[in-house]
Amino acid sequence: MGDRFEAIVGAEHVSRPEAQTLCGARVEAIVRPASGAEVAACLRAASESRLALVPVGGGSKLGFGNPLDTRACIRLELGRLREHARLDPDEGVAELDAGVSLEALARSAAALGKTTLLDPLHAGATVGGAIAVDPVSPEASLDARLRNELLGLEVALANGELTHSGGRVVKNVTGFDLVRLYCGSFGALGVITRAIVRLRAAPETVALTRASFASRDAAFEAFAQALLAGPTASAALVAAGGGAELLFRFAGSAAEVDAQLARAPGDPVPLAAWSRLRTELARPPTRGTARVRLGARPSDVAVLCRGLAVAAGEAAPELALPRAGIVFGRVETRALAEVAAFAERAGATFALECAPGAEPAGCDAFGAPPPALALMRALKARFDPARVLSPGRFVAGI
Amino acid sequence: MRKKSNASALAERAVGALADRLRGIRDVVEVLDRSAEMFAYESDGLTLERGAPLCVAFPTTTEALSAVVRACHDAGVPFVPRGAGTGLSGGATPVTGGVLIECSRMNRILEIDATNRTATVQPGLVNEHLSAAVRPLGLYYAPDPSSQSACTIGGNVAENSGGPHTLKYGTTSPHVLALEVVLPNGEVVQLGRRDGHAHGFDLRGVFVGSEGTLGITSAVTVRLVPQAESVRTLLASFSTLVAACEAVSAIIARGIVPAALEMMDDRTIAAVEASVYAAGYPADARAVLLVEVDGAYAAVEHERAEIESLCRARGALEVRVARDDAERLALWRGRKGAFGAMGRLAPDLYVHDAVVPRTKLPEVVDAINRAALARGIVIANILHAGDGNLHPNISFDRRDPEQLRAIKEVGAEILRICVAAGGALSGEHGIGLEKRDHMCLLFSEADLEAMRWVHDVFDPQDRCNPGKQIPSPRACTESNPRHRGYAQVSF
Repeated sequence: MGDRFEAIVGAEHVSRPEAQTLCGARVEAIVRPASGAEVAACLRAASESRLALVPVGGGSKLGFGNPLDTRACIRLELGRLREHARLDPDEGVAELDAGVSLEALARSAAALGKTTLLDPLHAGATVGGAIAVDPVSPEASLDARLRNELLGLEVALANGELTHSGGRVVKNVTGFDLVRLYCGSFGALGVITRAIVRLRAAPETVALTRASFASRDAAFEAFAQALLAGPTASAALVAAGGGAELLFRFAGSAAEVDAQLARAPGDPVPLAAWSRLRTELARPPTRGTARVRLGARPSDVAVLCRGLAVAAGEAAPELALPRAGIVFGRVETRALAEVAAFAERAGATFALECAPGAEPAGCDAFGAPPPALALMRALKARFDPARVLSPGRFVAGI
Repeated sequence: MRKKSNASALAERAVGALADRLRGIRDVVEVLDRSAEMFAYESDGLTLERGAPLCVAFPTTTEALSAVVRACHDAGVPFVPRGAGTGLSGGATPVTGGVLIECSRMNRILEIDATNRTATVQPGLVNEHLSAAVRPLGLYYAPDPSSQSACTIGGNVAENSGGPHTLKYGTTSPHVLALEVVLPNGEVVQLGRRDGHAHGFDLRGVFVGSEGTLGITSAVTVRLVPQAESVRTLLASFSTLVAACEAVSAIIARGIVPAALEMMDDRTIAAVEASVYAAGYPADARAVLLVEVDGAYAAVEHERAEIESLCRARGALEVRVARDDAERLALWRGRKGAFGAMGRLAPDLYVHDAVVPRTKLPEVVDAINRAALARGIVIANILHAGDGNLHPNISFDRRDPEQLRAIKEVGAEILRICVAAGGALSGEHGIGLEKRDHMCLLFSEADLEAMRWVHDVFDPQDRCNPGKQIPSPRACTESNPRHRGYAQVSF
């Protein structure tokens, strides 16, 4: 089988590690294609041989998802797909190979006075990996989602076809919106090889306010009032001892930010406080602990924090993004099943984002199965009939 | 001959039996099956194509809608969902017959959650009625198609509708958090979540814009947006379309994202000013821009001043700022009434829709105008200039077969011009019947096959709005020989 991959990408781009595992499966070979066409050919070869294949960008989210339901797999590294990175500031679009690093993209965009929602929060993360996982950024809100900023995708399918969806224009309703279908699908339907994303003007000003509260409940009350007042800010609630700090991050034109700051809760503080929060969120948990993410309505965030504290210990809720309705928690792996059960009871979503070590989680990494699971399984069967694309890793073992 | 009439009588009896079954469903408030009653349902806003339904059913609840779909499924009859019928690509036209399921009586607001800024509504709720209902709470629903006083939220979901304020707020999809959907076998499923945190494949995302080919929406949870503290609307007129486009680029390059950035050419201005929608647009201009900014008061004033200055620097003949809400609404009444105003020019109007990279607008509009003139057709252009979405409008008389042939030719040529410029077939009206067989200009057979896979998972028997949006492989090859070799366009 290795010979077939060597014929596609060249022998120097195939290696066979002695003892490496990936998503719980033994890595038979590491294959490094250099183009969308090579990726597609690798997928065709894998399908014909019924050999599982896991696409890997920067590898920053490999701890997210269920173990594969196969014993062996091919590690398909996409880091060589980074030649094409064309930023068009006049049109406000960027066309990017999947292996382009988010840090490099952020630098290139900043040099043009632009930014994207592809957040370089995790070191080494790539364009394709981020789109496949659709991670939550601390600046997230219900209206600032990566999937809304994707314009087009090139995707290699399991049958070896290289396909396109969307396009290069910023407004487009031509055909089914497969771009949104692929975003966040963990590569279970196909492998993203190129993307076209929106370039936005970088904010002229960014400012931060901080308010400290003796209790989390008091912080939530202040947040609820701010939510109703409608500030267009990212918001974060950080546990601090028995109390909490509420941070509001404002970004936009100087006039817009000044106007918001005048009414924002708390006092202006240096941006370093937000940077610390980002650093903390990017730091992997230590062995024996895991990071979970719970999601619900913004008004339910207080309930989630309290419930997480009960299920997994007082220190568990480490960060809440109230405007997005998200709570991050660092919990002991032995408490994961209990936390997942709490999320289901509370009507919230659960995601096991990162769990170093090989301990079984005792629960699905995505919590309770979604209501339209039968349709999802049927889609998987149609797009990947040989079940070679990260089999078992996605929701409910898809 | 006798055999045919027997078959026809049998078919009539079968239709009658189906209509009777639909009439017996609780909360189906009306079923029409006489041709005179159903005439209005033979097309949507694209009157170039027509088709007669077997009957028209009006459910008012999810259960009734599900029962109607199940009856169609049991009878092996196709069905076509319809909202208000304001669509402009033939998406709700029953070209293959079948049952037309009219959702406009499912028009209740089910829940408003002001704290979390969401609303759950039935699909037949008129777009504008939602904003009116939540206005006292300081909120509104952002997607605003020109037909928003008539079109429905369910129709907007099916078409992923846009509108002038798409530039800042996006089309319908980003505003839809969750859908309750009746599948083609009558089963009811939830796609997405009201909190926006659904795991798994984004079925909500792929359903929005699927033009009623995957199922019928029975409830929609949408995001609501806080009303802006301040809104300012400017009118800038220019002596050339190119100068107006340059002003648009300058505004975007400055990093300003207006809520709306609309353009009208001289023919559109003339039509509006001669109509009841007259808004005082300057008669001597070759193009006008309508620019709206919203946000905090100080920020809006700052952006207004910048836009005014940028327009003057690009040679604006006049820049006028609406002094109050009455003036602002009058400016918008002219823009939103422009399509109606064109009714003065000819009995029928073909509102085309395509999208190109914004910087290509001047050359594309010029090429479109030349292509039309070469066929004796005059076009009036309305453009959502900020996002490259153009609406060339063709007034015509459908009773003249020569005109019909010419405008279909021009319509196809417009698509070829836009695709060649790096654009796409539709910015907001959808594909429907109108552009179905032109999909191969943009997509390869493999691209389309992936869409067919999605379709087949939802609708394996092809009963749900058949014949729309996705062409058959044969249609593509026949309509576009180039498709055999697939000249890659969009990437």
